[in-house]
Amino acid sequence: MASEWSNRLDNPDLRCKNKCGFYGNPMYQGYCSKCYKEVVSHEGKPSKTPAPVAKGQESDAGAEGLGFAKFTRRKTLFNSAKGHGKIFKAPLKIRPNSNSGAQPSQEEEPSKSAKTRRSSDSFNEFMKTLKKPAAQDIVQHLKSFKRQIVEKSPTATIEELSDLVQEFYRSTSERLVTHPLFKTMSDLEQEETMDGIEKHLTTSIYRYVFAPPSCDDDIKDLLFVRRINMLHWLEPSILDVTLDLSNIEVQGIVAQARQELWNVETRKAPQDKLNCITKSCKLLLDALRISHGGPASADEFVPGLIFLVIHTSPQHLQSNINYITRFSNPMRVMSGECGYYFTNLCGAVTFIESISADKLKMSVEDFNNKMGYVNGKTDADLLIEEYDDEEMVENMTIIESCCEAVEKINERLQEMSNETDVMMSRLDELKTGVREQVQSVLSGPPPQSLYKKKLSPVVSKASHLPTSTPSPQISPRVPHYVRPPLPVNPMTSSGTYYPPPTNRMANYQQPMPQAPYYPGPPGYVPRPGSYVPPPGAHAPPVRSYFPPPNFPFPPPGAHVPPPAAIGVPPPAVSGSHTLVPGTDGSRSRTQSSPNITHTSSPPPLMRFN
Amino acid sequence: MAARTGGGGSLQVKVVLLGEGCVGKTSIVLRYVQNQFNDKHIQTLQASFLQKNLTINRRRLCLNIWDTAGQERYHALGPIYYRDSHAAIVVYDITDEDSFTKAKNWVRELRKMLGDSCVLVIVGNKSDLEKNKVIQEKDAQEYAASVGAKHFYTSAKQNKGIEEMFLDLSKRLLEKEGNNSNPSSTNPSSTRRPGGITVTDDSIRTDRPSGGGGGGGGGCCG
Repeated sequence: MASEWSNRLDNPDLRCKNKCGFYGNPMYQGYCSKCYKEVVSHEGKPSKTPAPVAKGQESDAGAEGLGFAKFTRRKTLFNSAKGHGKIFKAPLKIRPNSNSGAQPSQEEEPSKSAKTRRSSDSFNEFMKTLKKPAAQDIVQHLKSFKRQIVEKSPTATIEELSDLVQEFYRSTSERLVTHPLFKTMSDLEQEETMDGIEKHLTTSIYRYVFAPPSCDDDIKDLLFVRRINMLHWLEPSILDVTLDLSNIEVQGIVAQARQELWNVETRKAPQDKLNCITKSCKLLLDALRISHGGPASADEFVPGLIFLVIHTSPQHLQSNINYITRFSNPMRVMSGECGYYFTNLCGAVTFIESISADKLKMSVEDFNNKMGYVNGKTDADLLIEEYDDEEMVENMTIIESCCEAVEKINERLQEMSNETDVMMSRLDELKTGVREQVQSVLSGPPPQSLYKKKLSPVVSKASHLPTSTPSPQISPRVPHYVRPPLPVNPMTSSGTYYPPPTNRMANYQQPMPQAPYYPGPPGYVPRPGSYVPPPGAHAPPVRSYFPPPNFPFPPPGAHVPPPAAIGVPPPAVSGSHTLVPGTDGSRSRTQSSPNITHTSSPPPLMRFN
Repeated sequence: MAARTGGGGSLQVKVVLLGEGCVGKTSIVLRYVQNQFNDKHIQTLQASFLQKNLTINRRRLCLNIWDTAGQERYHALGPIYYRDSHAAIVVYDITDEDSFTKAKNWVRELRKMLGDSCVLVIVGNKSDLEKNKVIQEKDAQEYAASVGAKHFYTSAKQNKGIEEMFLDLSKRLLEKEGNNSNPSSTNPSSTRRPGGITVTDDSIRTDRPSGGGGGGGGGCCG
């Protein structure tokens, strides 16, 4: 049985036609699935396997199969037009005839996307290699180094970071030579691995090391852009630029070169930035070649590049150059074609920074006028001064005032938290005070009345409060409408019988404040224009509803008739006179109010102040 | 300053071309690299950066020839170009006295900036215009000897003396490199990677189509 099975399995007809050792399948025309895919793709049929795509790099360009190449191209074109339109509109506007740029860019696109695919292939290969278990130590090394850079970036200077990265490149490339996985590779493959590591590293630490706040790259950028803006009057002829800008083809190529120079800012890895520079320079050389029908030498190329930089006005060119210098593999910058074009770009930037009248073979006055220099200041210091004087100082003052404001807020916050603490401690004190009072009341003399019990501790507590913050609200102010409950008949109700309040309550209360003003019985609304007590006036105490304890004795300091008159009804009660001295003329109404009927209550006209 | 060894054992050297405008720097290098002299170099896209691979005594050499702008106004950019170069070719026009003065200036600057590490060649171009010659051979030779340079007469038009000049330059470069047997060990502080990029052959390099060079590998001879 077993041998029968093995016989059948050993049948060569079942094997893949490609003799790869795996079993074939009639569905795959006798191939195994893998070989089928390869055979089919070699035959040129549309392959379903997507082309590898570099992370974040024109991902839509490579995502389609071969059969969709045309579609992809159009899509890429569309996307690039859509995506970069806004960015590039402004610089491209300088061109008098910008629509000519579209035609050559279509011709250029296939080779560009093919190139992108090629470079993304090599990067993908690198990423695949890194996934191998044998490469794990390299991966760990890379990861820990990235962490190290990120941790150090806030404190270390940019030069220190640059040295660290360069040292990392050196040590890693030495390590690759002896690494079990990589040492079998050819030099070219090792080279690609190093490029991959460099790209991976710089992309991940980009935001920490590109023009960090610790260096003045951004100020250099500002100054450079400012400088370029001042040079807007520079004609190509002044610089001896031999570009034939009347030629539509040349215009288109120059527009592309300009776009490539802009693209430098959108790339992260130094080699990608360098590739953009190289592409831009080559396009410029091409335009120069077309312009005068021969290969362009440096005599034409350097002025052309200066012209290109001035009319492209990249925003962060200085930062980019410094970034490439610091974090690129030095081999790339120092030699080779990339190195040559990069050096030329540095030269162009240096020239623009130091441009002067004698270099342009024009008179100093003319140059000054065109540059907008006044008072004979021809130095680039003027720019710096200007920045120092105006924007820098302004910005610095804004920053300083913001810092001050933040400090103030901090102080106030501190104060507030202190006060909160004090308040909390006072609250605690109050609580314990209340508790003590309640205890003392409970353990003290027999309870007087329920409402007194409830009210009195609070009222009396007020005097225990620290007096640092005078709070008039805490003064014993009980609404006049609070009345004692009616005595309950002990025979009929389950409630406790409380005897009516007596003067003994004064033990638990502050001295009764004098009732300066009696607003009338509950529900009494004074007529408009009548006397309204000032806000500080004491409301009548609770018991004022009953005949006031001090009635008919006026409080001390009150304006009272002489002692001889005590017992005699005051003249005000009769209504014919006023007790109010004439000094207060505003309340003249009371002077002639004979119809006062509240004879049983304290006289409404009695005022004590 | 030491030249880097490429991956294929090819020595990468940077040769910078200096001289006043119109003395024929570009013509010399084009004649040498592509053996053409024309008023219209049709096949060449550009002549500002060219590479030439050589094999001398079974040692391979890749010359990266950097052309520079000769106009006076770009003179100040010189140091940017000849920084880290291994060799310099200073060209003057034998019919133009002024260009010889400029050449002297260049030599002085080079010696000041690079010291003696740089292999120096002084070239009197346009030797076909013998009858208009204003710079006497004796003066030129003496001057070259005084600055430790070699002097050559070339004619890009007639293709005379150019091969010899570059061959001599390359030999001197190799000699110099032979003295520094291991470039990376002589300069330990250098952060340059020892592994180079290139696998070179001796076929004449032509310009790559625009937009196609460099690549992700960033190779210079690749």
